[in-house]
Amino acid sequence: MRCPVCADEFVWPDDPYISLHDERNDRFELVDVSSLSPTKRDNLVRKGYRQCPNPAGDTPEHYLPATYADHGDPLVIGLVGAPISGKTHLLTAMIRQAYLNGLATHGVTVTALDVRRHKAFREYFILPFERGDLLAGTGNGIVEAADILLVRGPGGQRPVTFFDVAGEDLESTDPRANRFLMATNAVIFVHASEDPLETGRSSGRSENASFEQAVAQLPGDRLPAVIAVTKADRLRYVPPAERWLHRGDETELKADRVRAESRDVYAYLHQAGALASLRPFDEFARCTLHFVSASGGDAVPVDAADPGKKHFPHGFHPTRVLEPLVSILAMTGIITGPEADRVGRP
Amino acid sequence: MSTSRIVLVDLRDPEAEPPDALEGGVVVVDRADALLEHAETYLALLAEKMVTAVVCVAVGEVGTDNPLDGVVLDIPPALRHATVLWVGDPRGVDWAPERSAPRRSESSEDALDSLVAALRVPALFDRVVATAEGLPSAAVNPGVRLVSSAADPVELAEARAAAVRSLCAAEHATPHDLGESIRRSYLPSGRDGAVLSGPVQTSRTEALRRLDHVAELARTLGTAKALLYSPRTTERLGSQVVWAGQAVENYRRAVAELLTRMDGQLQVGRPSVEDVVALGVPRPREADGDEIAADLRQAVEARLDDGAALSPLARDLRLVAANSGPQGCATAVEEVRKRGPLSLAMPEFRTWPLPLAALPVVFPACALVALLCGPGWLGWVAGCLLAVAWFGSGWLLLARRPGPEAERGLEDALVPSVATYGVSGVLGAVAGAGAGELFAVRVARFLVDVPRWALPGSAVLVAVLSAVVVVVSWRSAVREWRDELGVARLRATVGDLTQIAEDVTAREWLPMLRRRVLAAAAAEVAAGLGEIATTLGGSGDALFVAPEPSPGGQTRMVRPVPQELYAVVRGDLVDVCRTALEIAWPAAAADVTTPQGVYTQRLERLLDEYGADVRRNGLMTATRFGTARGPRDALMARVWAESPAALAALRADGADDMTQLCRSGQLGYLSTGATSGLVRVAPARLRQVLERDGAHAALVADPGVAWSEGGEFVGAVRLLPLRPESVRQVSGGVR
Amino acid sequence: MAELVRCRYVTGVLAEIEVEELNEFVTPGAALEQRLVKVNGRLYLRKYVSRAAGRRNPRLYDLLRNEIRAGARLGQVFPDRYPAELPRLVAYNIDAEEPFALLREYAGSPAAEHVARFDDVQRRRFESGLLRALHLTAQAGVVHGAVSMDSVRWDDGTVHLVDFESSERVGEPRRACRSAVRSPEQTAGTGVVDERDDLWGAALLIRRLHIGDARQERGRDPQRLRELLDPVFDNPVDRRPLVADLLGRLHTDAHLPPHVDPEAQLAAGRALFDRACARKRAPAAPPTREPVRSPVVPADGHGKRVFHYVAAAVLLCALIIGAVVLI
Repeated sequence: MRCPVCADEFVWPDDPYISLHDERNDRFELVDVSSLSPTKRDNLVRKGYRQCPNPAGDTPEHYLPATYADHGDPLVIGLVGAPISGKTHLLTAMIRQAYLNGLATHGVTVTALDVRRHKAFREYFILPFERGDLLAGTGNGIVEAADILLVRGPGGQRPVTFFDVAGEDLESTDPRANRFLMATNAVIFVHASEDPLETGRSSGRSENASFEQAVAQLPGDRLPAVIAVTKADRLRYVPPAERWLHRGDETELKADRVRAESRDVYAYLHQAGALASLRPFDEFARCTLHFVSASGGDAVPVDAADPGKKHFPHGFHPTRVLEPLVSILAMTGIITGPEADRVGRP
Repeated sequence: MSTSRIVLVDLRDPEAEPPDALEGGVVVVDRADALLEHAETYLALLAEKMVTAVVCVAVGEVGTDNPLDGVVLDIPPALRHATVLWVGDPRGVDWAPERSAPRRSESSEDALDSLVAALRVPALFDRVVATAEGLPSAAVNPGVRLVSSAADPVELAEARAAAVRSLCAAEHATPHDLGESIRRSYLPSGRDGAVLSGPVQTSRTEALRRLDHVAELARTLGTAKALLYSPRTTERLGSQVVWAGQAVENYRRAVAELLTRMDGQLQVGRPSVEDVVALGVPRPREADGDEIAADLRQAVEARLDDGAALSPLARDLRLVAANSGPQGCATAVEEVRKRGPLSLAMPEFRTWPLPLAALPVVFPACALVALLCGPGWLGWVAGCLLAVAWFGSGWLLLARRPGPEAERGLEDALVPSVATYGVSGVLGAVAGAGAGELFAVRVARFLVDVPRWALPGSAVLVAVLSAVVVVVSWRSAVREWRDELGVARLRATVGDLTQIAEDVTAREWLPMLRRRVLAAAAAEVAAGLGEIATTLGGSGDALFVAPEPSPGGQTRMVRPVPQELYAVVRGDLVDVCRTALEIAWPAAAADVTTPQGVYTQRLERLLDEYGADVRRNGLMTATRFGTARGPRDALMARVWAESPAALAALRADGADDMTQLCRSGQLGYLSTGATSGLVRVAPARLRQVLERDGAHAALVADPGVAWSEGGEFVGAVRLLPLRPESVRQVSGGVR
Repeated sequence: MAELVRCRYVTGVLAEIEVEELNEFVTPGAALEQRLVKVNGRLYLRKYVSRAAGRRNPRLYDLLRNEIRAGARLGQVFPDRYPAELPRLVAYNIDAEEPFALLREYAGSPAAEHVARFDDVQRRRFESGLLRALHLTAQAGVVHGAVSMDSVRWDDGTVHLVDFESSERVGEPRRACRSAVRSPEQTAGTGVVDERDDLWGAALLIRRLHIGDARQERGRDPQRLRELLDPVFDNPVDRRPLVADLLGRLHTDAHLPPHVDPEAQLAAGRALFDRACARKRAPAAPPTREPVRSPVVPADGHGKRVFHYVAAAVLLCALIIGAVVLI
């Protein structure tokens, strides 16, 4: 069993000890459930946790839901991209839409596996995002699974976790980073559509260190990958992004449409000179490309005098944020069917 | 000489504007105590050459040092040649001299105002001047009994509102196709004059000539000429057929080009008329803008006379413009284009003009002839001769078979003819002659009873039958081919194309200029009418504004606007609009577009003039616009019928009750013993109404009544001279 | 007072420009607020949604989006010689508090002020100009959606079609919107947008231009108008004539100014994608070379058959002739 938080592998304990969270003191208490009646025991197991042994001993004490082992192997999705590429926004928008039943049209339901963790994620990410506030970036370093989703689809159910990594960190010898890479089942490469006026760089960089590192270290022949062009709302009136953003969210999975979008995104990145961002497509056997907009628009300063504080005056309108996830679910077998089978294949 | 214009000068009001022009009769209203003060004004007035008479209405009483001297008026010398009417009191008293005591006046109106208004009627003015001159006193006091037939302002405003509503109504009361009659007179329905010439006609002639030629060739193909003569006209029949088709296609293209150019000229003015005419159509007929404008005017005015509202009429005219303008001939172009490309298909001639089915006949025929003429050399010769004949005719027919361009030719036809007819014939001859030789005895025995002539006879018969087969085969092949040749169809197409071209020429091209002028004229008038309707709907409300009901004043009895009043106002407004539209006609004739706003300005000015005219002269007299007599006569009849007081006033004599314009205490200044003057007045229009009515013949014949041309007053004015001592003549302008 | 604003050009590039507000500007076909502004000494039109108006009627944001989307597309299709018949979007910002579109100042004035006094030449120029404007939008795949007297301006012989607030894009599902100038398909909002959708409104406008009142029954229309417009009114959209056909009928030049396909510059990238896919497919399923089969030459078979036939015929003829000779 691999822990989604520290990515360490360990044997799931079979002892009767369950940790229960004491809300009042915010600490875990160990309880022996062997003497309890089966009904009571089941109830406690559903609410209880088990501490991850973290054999590597490099991560602070953390707990996993006691039922974690009941749902099969977790699907670990890595997000790779530069620090300002909008990974956090994309992740937040994606998880929020997934909880809002955005995947229902594909026969997929999503629930929170770890209620405590979900509550925290909601409080620190989803709610500020919904208010239109900007989210603090994650900066450098591996960011552990912020939320664990339990995804039930036609192909079965699996816990799904995301980890967010800036590519430069993959170069480090941090064993935890390597463990994460080992554990990864799918990758989302995040490329942001940038404005030279803001970044001070000429548009379309020919280098993408994050992508290069990740591509070098991940086994492209067996992992499905997605390249997501975030902040696509900046291109909302420029072809080819215009056509896809105008379609809004899709309601059914069509391999040909996914391929057409991939082809357009590929052509856009090629035209923009972002050839380095196209590397994953060549290296990963199954790969799709998507235009996404986590917020639906650019944030503007609340007050002209203080350009640092920004907001979304017309609210946020995530557009096509679930498309990368749907492609990954199709490529990992959670969404099944002949169409799903063709997704991402060349 | 009768006065035609009366000018009112009010010297009581120092602020009042002086009249713009002094001419005709002048009514001066002045204070009695200011006459001397204004002596110079009167002097100047009387010195005006264009002033024919002056009536001075002196209001009030002059104050003298001795209140008991009985003097009420000081008259300066300047007024010696004027008629002086002294008005002691503007309201006056009702009084019949020697019949009744004076009473307070019952009339709610100011008698002075009525008098002054009535004096503005030239006929009354003249009579008053003449009558006063005949009286012995230098000044007279007027008594009045006047009935006004002026329209009630509230009713007038309502009538105006109704008339404006009616004129600006959006929908037709009765739909009417204005365009039909106008178009009929300018746009002919037949095809007169639409004769094509030039290149189009040339290509048509060429197409028909070639078709005729092909038809002739097809006819000759079945004759011996086509087979035996050299050179033969049918030699290159295929090419002739193709050329005929091409000629028809050329004609179609010429017509298409002509129609395309016509459509271009009609729709966008390109190419030029010369370029179209160059292809062979007559020049468009000239258009007479004046005549078209005049006809259009007649039609529009007739519709206005019929009571048409302005907006629907404008809409109709716009439709006339749209329908009359050049319509182009895009559909005809399309039709001609759809018919192409045209060609005359060369039907395939039968591959074997002498059918292969004849081969089974050839063999036995040759064999039979050889047998019948044999045995011996005769049989061989006869059989071979027939075989050669068969082969020869088969070869000839095959060689003359028309191909896609030319006939097949003897050379080409030789081998197939030898292989078929030749071989069959020779084999037949050999077989017949051989059989004759081999079975000579048996044959001789068999033919022993046959007469001698029967054998050569049979041989000749066989030969003749063979010839018949050959001829019939060729002819049937030619007939079959001819039936498939579409000359007649193409000839019909040429006819259709000509008809299309001529139709368009007659309908669109020849009347093009007329269409343009008519459309432009109708559009101009439509735009003018539209602008006038809009302006009338907006500015018309400013005309005849009803007075605001005074708070606490009496509530009027409301009654529907009299139809006659409505008819007069509507008729006047139609005439105002008609006058405003007048500039449209020369513009229409000259194909000029009047700038936007000109009609609006014009109508607003005319409405102002009309309003001022009615205010000044009254509706009955304001006839500058309402030229038709009927409505005003009808209104007059109605007013007369509704007002018995008018009849009484007109019949009044000098001793009847009248409102004498003085206080009862001032009656003593009047000289009742002397003869009084009486002036009776009524509008001439009333006289006509009465004449038609027939009930008041005596009144109509009464010479004492002054029938005024205008004016709205019916009644009488009594002039009583003042006692001589009450009037003091002052010389030198000082008392 | 000049104000520094951020906006994007039609190419999507972010820029900062200085805008000086002048005065309010009104066109009859616009529901959005408009102001004349000055940028770099040149006059522009700023269409925007103010905070208050946006709160009152959030639909205004959609109208502005439509205007920008159409303008951006037209700007991308006609990058160099922009046609005078269409409004030119210069920049936009849809994310700002008061989102706006910046257009070149309109030429002329609303057509309604002029048409009543048009002469025949002007009327024909107007209808050609209108159809030409639609020809241009059709080239860009844009449908105006509300062609009426209100959305057309007249500038001394040139027609300008403005206010693309109801615009749609060809090929996308139609938006249902009830309006007297929209075709039955547009009103119902069924099917996908067709470049001929706008012809309905244009045809109504042309009728109004000629006969003044478009409510009148069509039976009394002049023949020319019936021939031109009946195919528009009497056919469902897929059988309506193309704008170019109508221009042809009016002898109007239907050629287009230099234009580009904005997607053309993606062609190289798309081809690369296809090649990359082919490359990725290659190791998974190496293309098995088909065994080279000797090509079947049909002429030979035919020749053979003819030979057999002729041989049989000759044999048969020989037999018959032989039999005849022998008997």
